[in-house]
Amino acid sequence: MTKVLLGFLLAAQAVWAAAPALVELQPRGAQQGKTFTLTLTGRELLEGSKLITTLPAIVTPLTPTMKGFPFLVELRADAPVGTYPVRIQNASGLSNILLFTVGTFPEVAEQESAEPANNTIQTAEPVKVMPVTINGKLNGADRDFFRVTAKAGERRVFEVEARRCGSAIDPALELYDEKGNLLTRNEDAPGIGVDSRIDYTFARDGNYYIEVHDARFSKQEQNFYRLKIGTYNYPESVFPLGGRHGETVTFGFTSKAGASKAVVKLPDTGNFATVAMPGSPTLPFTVALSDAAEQTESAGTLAVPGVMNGRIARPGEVDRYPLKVTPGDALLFELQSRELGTSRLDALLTVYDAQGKKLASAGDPIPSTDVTSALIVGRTQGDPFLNFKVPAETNEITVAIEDLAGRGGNDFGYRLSVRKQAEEFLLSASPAYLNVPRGGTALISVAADRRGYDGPIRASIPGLPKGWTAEGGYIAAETMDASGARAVSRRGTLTVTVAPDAEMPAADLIVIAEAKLADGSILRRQASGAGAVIDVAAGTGLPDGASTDRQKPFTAPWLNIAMPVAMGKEPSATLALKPLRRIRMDEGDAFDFEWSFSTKDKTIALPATVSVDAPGARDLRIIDMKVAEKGAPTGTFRVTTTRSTAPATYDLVITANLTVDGQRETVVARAIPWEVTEETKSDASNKTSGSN
Amino acid sequence: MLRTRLLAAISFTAFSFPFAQAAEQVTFLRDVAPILNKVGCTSGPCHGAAKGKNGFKLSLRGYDPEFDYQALLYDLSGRRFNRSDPGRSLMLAKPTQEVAHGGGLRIEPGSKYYQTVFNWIAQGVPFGDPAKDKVERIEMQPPAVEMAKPGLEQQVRVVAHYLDGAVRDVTKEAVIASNIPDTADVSADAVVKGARIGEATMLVRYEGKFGTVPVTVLNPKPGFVWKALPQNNYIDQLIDAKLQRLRIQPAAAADDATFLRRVSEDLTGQLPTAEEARAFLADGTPSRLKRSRMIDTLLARKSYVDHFTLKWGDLLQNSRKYLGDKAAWEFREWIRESIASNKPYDQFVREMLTARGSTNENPATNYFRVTRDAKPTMEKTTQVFLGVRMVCTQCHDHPFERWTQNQYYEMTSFFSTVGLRPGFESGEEIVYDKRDDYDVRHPKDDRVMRPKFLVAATTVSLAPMALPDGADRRKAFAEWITSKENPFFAKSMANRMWSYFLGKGIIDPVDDIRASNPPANEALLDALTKDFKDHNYDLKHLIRTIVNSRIYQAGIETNEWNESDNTNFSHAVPRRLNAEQLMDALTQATGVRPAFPEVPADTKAEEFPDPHVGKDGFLDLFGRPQRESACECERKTDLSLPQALNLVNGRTISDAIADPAGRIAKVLIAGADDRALLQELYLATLSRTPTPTELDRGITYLRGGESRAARAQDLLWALVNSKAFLYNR
Repeated sequence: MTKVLLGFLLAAQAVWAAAPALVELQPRGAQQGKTFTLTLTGRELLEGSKLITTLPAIVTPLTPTMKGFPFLVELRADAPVGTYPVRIQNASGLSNILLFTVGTFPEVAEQESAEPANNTIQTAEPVKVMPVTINGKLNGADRDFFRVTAKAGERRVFEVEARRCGSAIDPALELYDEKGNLLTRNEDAPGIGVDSRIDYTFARDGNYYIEVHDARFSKQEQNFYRLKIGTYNYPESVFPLGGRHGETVTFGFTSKAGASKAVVKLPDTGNFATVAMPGSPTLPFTVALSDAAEQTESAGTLAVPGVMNGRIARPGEVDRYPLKVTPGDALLFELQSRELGTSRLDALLTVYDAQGKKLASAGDPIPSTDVTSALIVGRTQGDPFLNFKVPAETNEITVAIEDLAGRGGNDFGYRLSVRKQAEEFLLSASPAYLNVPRGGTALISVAADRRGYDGPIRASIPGLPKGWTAEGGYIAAETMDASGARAVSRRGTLTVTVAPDAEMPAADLIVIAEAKLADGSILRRQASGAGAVIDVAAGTGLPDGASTDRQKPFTAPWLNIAMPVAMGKEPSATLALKPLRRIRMDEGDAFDFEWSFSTKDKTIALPATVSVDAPGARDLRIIDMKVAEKGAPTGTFRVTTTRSTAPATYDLVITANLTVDGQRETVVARAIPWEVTEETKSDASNKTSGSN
Repeated sequence: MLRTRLLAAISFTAFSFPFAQAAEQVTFLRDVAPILNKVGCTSGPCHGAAKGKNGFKLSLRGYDPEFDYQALLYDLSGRRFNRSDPGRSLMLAKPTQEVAHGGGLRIEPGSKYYQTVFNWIAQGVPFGDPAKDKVERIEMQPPAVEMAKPGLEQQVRVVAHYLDGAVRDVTKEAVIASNIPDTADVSADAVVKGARIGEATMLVRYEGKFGTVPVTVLNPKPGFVWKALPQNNYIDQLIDAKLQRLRIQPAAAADDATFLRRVSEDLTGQLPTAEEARAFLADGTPSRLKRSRMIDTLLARKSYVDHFTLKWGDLLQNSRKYLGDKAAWEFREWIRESIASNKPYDQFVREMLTARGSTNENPATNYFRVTRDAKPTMEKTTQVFLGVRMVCTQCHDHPFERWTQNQYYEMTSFFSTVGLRPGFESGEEIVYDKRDDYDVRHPKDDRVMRPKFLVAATTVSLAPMALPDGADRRKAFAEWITSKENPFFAKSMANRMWSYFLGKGIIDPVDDIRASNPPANEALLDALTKDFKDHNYDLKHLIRTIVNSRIYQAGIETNEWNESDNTNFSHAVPRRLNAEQLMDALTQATGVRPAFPEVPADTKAEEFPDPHVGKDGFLDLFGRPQRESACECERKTDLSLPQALNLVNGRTISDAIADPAGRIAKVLIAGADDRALLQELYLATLSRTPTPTELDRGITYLRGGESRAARAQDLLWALVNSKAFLYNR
């Protein structure tokens, strides 16, 4: 039997199906100083589960009920407004994070099960107190209506917190008068991403109706929203968008009520911090942290290295920064705006020479495939960066920042980082947390966002305690294929194996990657963590999948969490991979491998195939998948390469899916490095060599 | 033998050379090119084909004389001509079939055309002076033909006026064709013959110039006496004027019930409710006033907004296939708000054409996401907003219009600056203006084509046809297209809107406005256009004017004088309800709305954002467009066998009729007697009460078996399967 299997590895959450998983928090938020019962629901929420949270509160476990796993939470009266991670850990491992929000208003729950449901104006749910935060849910193509009473001249702010709080909902708000006439609507409001806000002053006394629905009427697992109704001030922008670690920075806010400031001592570590407008009940803004010298645009010129904090304050404005340079200098410009969630600037970064001739730009053309895939999911694009080599006889350049579409305003801020760096890459790792079965193996996917460095990269996890082993982590160099197209080589895989008697690491795992630069120096980068990952379902369940949007998941890098790790129960089986032989062929090589399962439970049905992945390797075929004999726990397969398979060291990773007690369990073999070498056809003589 | 040949050659030369010397000056432009076009050398099946024929390529229908001249001169290394012995030139030997010619005999040896080409070769194949030898205009004589009865004939003549002031009868070389040969046709000798009562247009083409000769064949039947009907507004006056001239007696206004159902469907896409129908029919207000009030009521409804949002969604191709889920909803919402606020049409168009930024923040930017590239964007823009189809001119000058290939690329360059790139959020894109690398080049010679307007719109700011360097191209284009001086913009919308209410455009198809597709009533279209512009592109005003006319409100019944008229709007024409109207009408008739998981439960079919809701179901079967093109023609409103089978046997209808929450169940549970039940069913389906005969028959049927409910269901099934239900009459 010949079978071709080319699969991508699964995210680690799925690798170990027995790990705990949080699906729901009830409630999703609470008012400062309140004591309440927080009920968790999900899978594998075993007795003795420990709540892990940064909530400023005293948390006491209660007796589990059929409704879920309750904790009594006593929030501090001065608990800052914001979102806090909540997860549990128990003997099965670590759960995912869901976010809990602390606010200043009294909180109520939508009467979701009331009859008739509040999905029309006629059946709108009355809002009895104000200010208030209503915690509601949208079940698919659902519309929730709430009735408010207002007097002529009265102002009300209606604000939905959803995506900012880890909901997959992309909310939309609509305000109607008593007759059902639409007064105004909002989809995305300044400074709050895809969340919505309406600020309305009523012309006459009467009943009014506020509707909340998902912008796509999509069906989501994390489908909650928090509708805030009151009369309050809120910031629409913040400036600057970040600062240097440990420094005290004055952040300015703009709002309809005017400008205000907050003086904030920034933390010494982490990539992000949060800042809030004094006196506002709105969620704080996320700002970026750096180690470089920080400037604001009034400085006029760029410091190298340094970070320039600027703002395209008016439509059509172009910020220009002159910079003295030396021919041959390699500069890296990196801009942050939309990725921070506080700026609407879709930046265009352009470098001109002293005569005004354009030398290079970023943000206008669609970036190359590798960069795009590193930064985005689906059809999104991140903030621009530019690797720029100063041409001969050029001693001065001008760096220009503008909005690609010529817009501008208070919420069009940016941070422009400049440094002399010819070769760079950014590293990310997933999953956001890792459960490794005791005596088993788990996977970590790493991805390099290349910014001028095209060579090989090796990821690893330093400082692992006794009994822990990390293997693999090879990311091959970028190459050009036979057609001259640039190969996409940014993905790698690490496997983490834990001995049965291993100790737990004292802290989160830190994934790093190293690269040897052209000058012989070593470039080391640490992976950023997603913090929390909330999937956002694509489309609306339409039959034509090709015509629906893939949605990128919600992530919370601002939680500044690396990669928390836990050990869980032993796996139902283990999987091993062994190289057998390498056979030279007319073009390329054939590599034979043997896989074998090992299990204590002889009743488990072992699969006849395994999934094979070789991250970054092109033009591979996985063929001849064979089981040694019927029912045997071992088999072989062959990997063939071609002339287009770039010479490099790759990892070979295999996984297999078991079904144990009706649940899927994925087992992983330790990664095996294997090498594709550059040898000419004349050297090949169908000779067989030993294992590579 | 040799001697004989030599003698023949000498004789030929001796004969032909003096002939050539004596001939008047012949040029390619003025004399030869028209012959090539007339005899078919430049036609599509011959050398005018995209790749030419047998290695020889001429421009299609001779739209590019310079190209054709070069091709003749230099193809085959210039061996097409024998200047010392013109008769032996391939240029003559091929069409006369002295040398084998795949196209057959095109020019008779010794004919006038032969002599002209012969002389031209003998004179050294001069091209001519474009400043003198090009045709400035053509004139048709007579300009219009009116025949008292079918069977009469009229010779027409085509006269070319050249740039140097010369005038020439080119009737023989001009191409003349009828747009409706069944009504009036034209012979090769340019004799027009009327075949039957009606109107047709002779389309005349000569050397890139176009003209028309309208032909009217009157009804000779004696006894016609014009019976004046009430005229509600200028529409009635202008149509009556033409009908009276054509001896066509228009139909009188339809009854109130017919009017109510028609106007409700046309303005809101919904049937009147049974209660509305009862109230309207019982209202004793004079009919014209009552109808006018109802029109205003309907125009103020949310369903009016939904109905026209659907139409614009079709035209602007709003679909998640192109835009993604979120943008499809947001673009729809932007259209809705524009219609709800009765945004002036020019502003609506301007906002789209100049839109930039995030598609999430500025939904009007989605306009550019469907076509994406400059060429299809230009084609869509001109087709939707001007009713002008430019697509042919991408490869060659328009065969039936004055638009040229150069203009195609000049117009395209207005949109070549538009860039799209992915945004930060899923499904978001940024629409922006490129800073560089946006030149449009002509495919023939790679020259950069500067933006230049199709026609002049002589407002002060738009006086120059070409745009200066550095100008905001889209802004200038938007200003030009929405200018009141633009000859197509308002006319196109007035015509399109007319078609929504009368079933066809005054110019039809509505998005193919050209000289060779003349309006059925030019005065009417001009008046509607002027009125639309005078009211600052107020769409509601335009709609209100049309539906208040007696012409719109006319009955479908014909009389002996208008029964053959399908052109002049002398009577109403039944129109099948479109897919969404039909589904909503069934919902109203049965009292049960089908559920779709992609939209909230109370959503009407007319409110669906795009064709992906309920895909491949009832709506698609009944012709809902997939929004693959910006053409009205994509929506189908014919009636097919699968549709008929679905109506008769389909679950959509049978389930709804028998639904426990449906109309039948509710009315029966409420204890309605037979008469009340029948009245309810007729009002809910046909917007009228049953006639006494219908009532009697209905009662008899209801009492004819054991299950009154089953029989009531049968009656409702029969009603929704009737033409009176399926059609807007």
